[in-house]
Amino acid sequence: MYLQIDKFYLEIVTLLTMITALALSLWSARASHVVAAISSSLFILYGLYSGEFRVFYVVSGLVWLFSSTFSALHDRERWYSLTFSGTLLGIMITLLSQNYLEFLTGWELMTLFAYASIGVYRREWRPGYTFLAFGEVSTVLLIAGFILAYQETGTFLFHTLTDTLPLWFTTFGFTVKMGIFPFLVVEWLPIAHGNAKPSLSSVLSASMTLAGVYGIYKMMSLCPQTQALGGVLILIGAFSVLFGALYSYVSDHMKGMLAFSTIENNGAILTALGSLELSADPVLKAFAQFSLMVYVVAHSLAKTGLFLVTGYVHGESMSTLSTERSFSLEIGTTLLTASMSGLLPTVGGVAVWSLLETLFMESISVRGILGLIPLLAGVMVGMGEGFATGAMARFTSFTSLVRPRGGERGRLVLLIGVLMPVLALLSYLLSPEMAGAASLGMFSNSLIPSGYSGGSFGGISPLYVLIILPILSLITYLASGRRRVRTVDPWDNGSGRRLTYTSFGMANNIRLMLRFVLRTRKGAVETSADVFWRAILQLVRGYVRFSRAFSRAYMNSSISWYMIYMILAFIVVILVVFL
Amino acid sequence: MSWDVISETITQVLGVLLLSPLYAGILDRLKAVVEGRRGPSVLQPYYDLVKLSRKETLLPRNAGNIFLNGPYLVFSIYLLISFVIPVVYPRPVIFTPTVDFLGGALLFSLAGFIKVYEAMESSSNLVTLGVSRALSFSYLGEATLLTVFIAVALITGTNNPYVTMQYVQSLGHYLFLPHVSATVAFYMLWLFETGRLPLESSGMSEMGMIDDSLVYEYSGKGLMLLRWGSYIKSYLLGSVFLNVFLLPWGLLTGPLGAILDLGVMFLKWMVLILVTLVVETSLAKFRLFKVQDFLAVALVLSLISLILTVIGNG
Amino acid sequence: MRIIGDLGSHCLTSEGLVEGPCKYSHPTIGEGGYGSFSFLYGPSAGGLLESVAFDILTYGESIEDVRALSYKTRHIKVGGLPLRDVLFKVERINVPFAASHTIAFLTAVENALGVSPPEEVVESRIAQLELERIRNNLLVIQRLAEAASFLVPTYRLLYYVEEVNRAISRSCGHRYFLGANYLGESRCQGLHLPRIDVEELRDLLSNRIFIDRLQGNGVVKEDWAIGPAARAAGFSYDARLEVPELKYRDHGFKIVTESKGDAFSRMLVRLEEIEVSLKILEGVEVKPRRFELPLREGRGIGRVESPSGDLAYMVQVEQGSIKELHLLPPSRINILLFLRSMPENIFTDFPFNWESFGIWISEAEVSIS
Repeated sequence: MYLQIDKFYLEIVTLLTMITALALSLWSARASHVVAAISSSLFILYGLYSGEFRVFYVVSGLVWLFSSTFSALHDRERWYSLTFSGTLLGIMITLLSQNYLEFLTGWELMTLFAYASIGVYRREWRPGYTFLAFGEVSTVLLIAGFILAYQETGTFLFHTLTDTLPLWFTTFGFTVKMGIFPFLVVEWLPIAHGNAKPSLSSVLSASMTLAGVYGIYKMMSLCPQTQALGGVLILIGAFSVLFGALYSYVSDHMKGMLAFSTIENNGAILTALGSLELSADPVLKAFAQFSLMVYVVAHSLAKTGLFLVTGYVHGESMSTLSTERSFSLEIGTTLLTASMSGLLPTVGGVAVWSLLETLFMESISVRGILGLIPLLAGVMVGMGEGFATGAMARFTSFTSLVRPRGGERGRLVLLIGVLMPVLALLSYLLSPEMAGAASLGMFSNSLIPSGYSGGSFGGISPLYVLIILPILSLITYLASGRRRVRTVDPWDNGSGRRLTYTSFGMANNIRLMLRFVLRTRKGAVETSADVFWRAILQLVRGYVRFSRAFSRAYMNSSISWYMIYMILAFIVVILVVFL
Repeated sequence: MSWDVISETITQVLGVLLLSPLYAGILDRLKAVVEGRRGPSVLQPYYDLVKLSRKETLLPRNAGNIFLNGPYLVFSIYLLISFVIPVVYPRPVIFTPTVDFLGGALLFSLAGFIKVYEAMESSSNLVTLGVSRALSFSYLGEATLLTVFIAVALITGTNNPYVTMQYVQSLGHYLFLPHVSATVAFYMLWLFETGRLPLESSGMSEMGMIDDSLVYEYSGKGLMLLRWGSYIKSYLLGSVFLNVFLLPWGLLTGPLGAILDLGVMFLKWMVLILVTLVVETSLAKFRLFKVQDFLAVALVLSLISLILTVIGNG
Repeated sequence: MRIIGDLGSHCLTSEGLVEGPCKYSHPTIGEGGYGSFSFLYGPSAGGLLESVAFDILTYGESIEDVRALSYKTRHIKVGGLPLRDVLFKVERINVPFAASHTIAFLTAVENALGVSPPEEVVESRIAQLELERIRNNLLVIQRLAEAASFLVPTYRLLYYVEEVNRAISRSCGHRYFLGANYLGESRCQGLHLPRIDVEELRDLLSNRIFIDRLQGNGVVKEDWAIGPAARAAGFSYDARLEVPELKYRDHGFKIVTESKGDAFSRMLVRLEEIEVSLKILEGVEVKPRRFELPLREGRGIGRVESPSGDLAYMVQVEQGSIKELHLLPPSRINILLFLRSMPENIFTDFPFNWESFGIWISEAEVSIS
């Protein structure tokens, strides 16, 4: 009881602090960001005490903490701190909501503030429109789902449901927000995220899409299990992994490629959600849950770090940007991209490993043709990881590896980078079980095993990888003796020229090899494929055009109207939260 | 941990470490003979490694930490994998449970990842050319590595390489169609991963480089470690292929057995070397983009294996 | 009439000299858009035998345009030097084509002085040119096989190249014909035929992967092409048919043509020409022979079909010395052809296309004054 009250007050204080941050933004940007960081820390604390959704809370809080810290250090504009803290507040309300109305309020608030932020940053409203248009699609689907739920239960409170239809509706509403297939073709996520400031991009990419995952997860916990949805989600997710990663590989827009990579990650998370829904085996379900949570952690934090990296770079095109590298940025980016490439011993490696194990175990345990779905998804995810590795290698190369050395900066990136292996160790805490093998030198609880009711499947020990690799490296280092190092120019046919290769060029092989998928024209890529894709593209473009006309007619695309709209929405939020 | 396990572990890891260059030497010598040349000694890889270890390290002007220290990490990743998969001894040894098959595939990817990063730090055009090629095939390479490992995992219902090896030893399982197609796929993948014809060859022409460009700027100890590392990689993947796919029989147990296993592995490797000798001396190198088709075939083969298994289960 | 190439300030055609530089169609120059960059290949590269560099405009792996950069220019001063000294230098401009260069030069001198060499000398020259052609064609095919890492044929072809070298050495005293020809003299003694199994060479064509690397690669169908490049594109251009001094028609010479104009056709032409050359050699007798060269003044052109196409010299002789000397090396034309054939290909096609032209930078970048 004591803890209960404590938690309630913590929630109120957290919300109030974020509202303070919003209010402070009218006076000082830095103060606002600092208070937002404090609120985020409180939210993390709150999250640690929460039960089922702990991971979502803690991860979101961390993302906000890092982004607002970055903003406190680098951003000075008051309008930005206003929209930034507004977005955070929106997500916070969504996550804390106890009923559908609160949820929607938070959802809308988040959408609107993010929209304003993208628009103001560019002084051009088109990317914002795209963003808002998809926000509207998403909201319409959500409202439809929520009304269905209301009809069934007669209350707006989150209540167990017997029908799966609300789940179907809301799930697709949320996937729109996550930029998942088939909506990835219109590139709204890359367009929108590419046009925001680094710290907002990371919030949008890591935290806003996480709110979508949270939404699906929440609805799944309310609705009865439906294997059909599970299968569909697995396939859609895997498809998004493959194509998100492919487009990330060929995209030459720095933040755009990260946003495509977000689509890839969201696809993987959706696949995890799908496999959670598909499996009836409780042991396997527990493991699927584990892979979902690890993925959420891995993606959100690594992506936050990577978007912050873009804050240290001048220019937005990968081929023409200029920057200098520092120790922190280089090592930080390397660790972050290792995690994004799904490599052990980082948390991303644990995530990819557990997701693939889940899929392959499901293809064994789910009988019949349905068992092929996770199998094909697994292969698609594998191919996606290959693209992701390439995309990430290019990102790191051209934002840091090949750049000249500069002053020491980007410690925040290094900090988040170092979190990647640390979180791999913390993933033990999420694992449904742990094991050991004393006779083979593995002490107890050092292994994360994977298994299903039919038996054990495999297992890894991030801890051992993290311990053994440095030790072996050290032994190798010592055994190979002292090295004499002489600095020379890299060999370029004896011409003494410098690196001329562009980032675009580095990805061009795939453009040429997959020209039928990517519809490569000379020197450019049309980011859509086939007649099928074109049809969808047309459909969505039509919708975007309609929504643009709609906004013009009713909102006159003047910023003051949005401000009024937001203030109204804000008042409604306050009322809903406190009444 | 018993002394037996410790001695078996030492035999396996030292066996990998010390014998892996030999197989490369034997293959090179045999290739030379077929080409009508006398060729280098089978010990040439060892001579090269010793020579390189004595040379100074040249550091490209823009490179730094990752370039200098990456090779140690790459080497130790391969060393770690040699604890994990049955490459000499047919029973689990110390640290074997660190990763399963899939985790092992991720470790291979990690080594590839570091090789790319350290190479890119040298900021050279010729390196970037090869890196861009290597990366462009990785989507098929990684997926195939994954699917062939999973192919055997699905057949046996476990992702543990040692269990799999014992399972396929029975002839019925060995001649099982999914196992056969996975075996062919794995061999194709092995050719790709170890940079062999018809996909790659190390020659004089910079325009055709793929994997060679990753070590292009290296010299001295760094190059030695990367070379040695790639011998180990070739040995590891080749031995998994032999022990789990092609010839799962014949390995002995016990500390003495472990030492005899080195001899058994030598005989198995002769088979692999002879097959590879025929492939390498009768085929020319594919056009670059055909590598993709080759890998796609491997992927489809392993996928067929997976689908057949799943349908067979259901 | 076909254009052969610039010779001095004139343009050499199959009908003789015409005024001014030859008129070539202008190549389309590739433009670099977003993401394109220039990639330098050479001058010091393992894949190139000689010092030459190429500036490749690319979007990555694709080739949009290629420029050749000069790294091997040599100036040879010949003005006022006695003929024998000049011969000495000409012989060494490009030693792999030493016979072609000296024979073209000597023919030009003989034309300038109004002398026709005796039958034995002509036969010896035909033998030398054909031996040189066989060796060079084998070498070109060997380079192609090596580029494809086609291991066994690579070494077999190297063996055959050595075989030809030894046959040349036994016939003319030097593996590269140095000293084999002199003013008013041909010194080769007897003809040793190299033992070459043409059928074995044809086995190359049964390898699908190897063919695939050549087919469709570097298509060039310019009507000003020369040598194997022209014949591969279906043009029956051959100095052996056009130049009267060397009586090829008497030796059963048959022209070989293909139609596609790609690297594969060029290789096929070279392969078939090895056989044609062997046939020609069967009917040739080689004996040493001297003849008189008078001390006169005059101007003359000498042209032969070198292994890579027309090679011509124009000389003006005065008092036994050179007043003026101009060279048209086949490689100069072949480089132009090569550069035009490269766009639309990818980097890994580069070595195949390059080797298929049989270009020697040493003769292309020499300037004589």
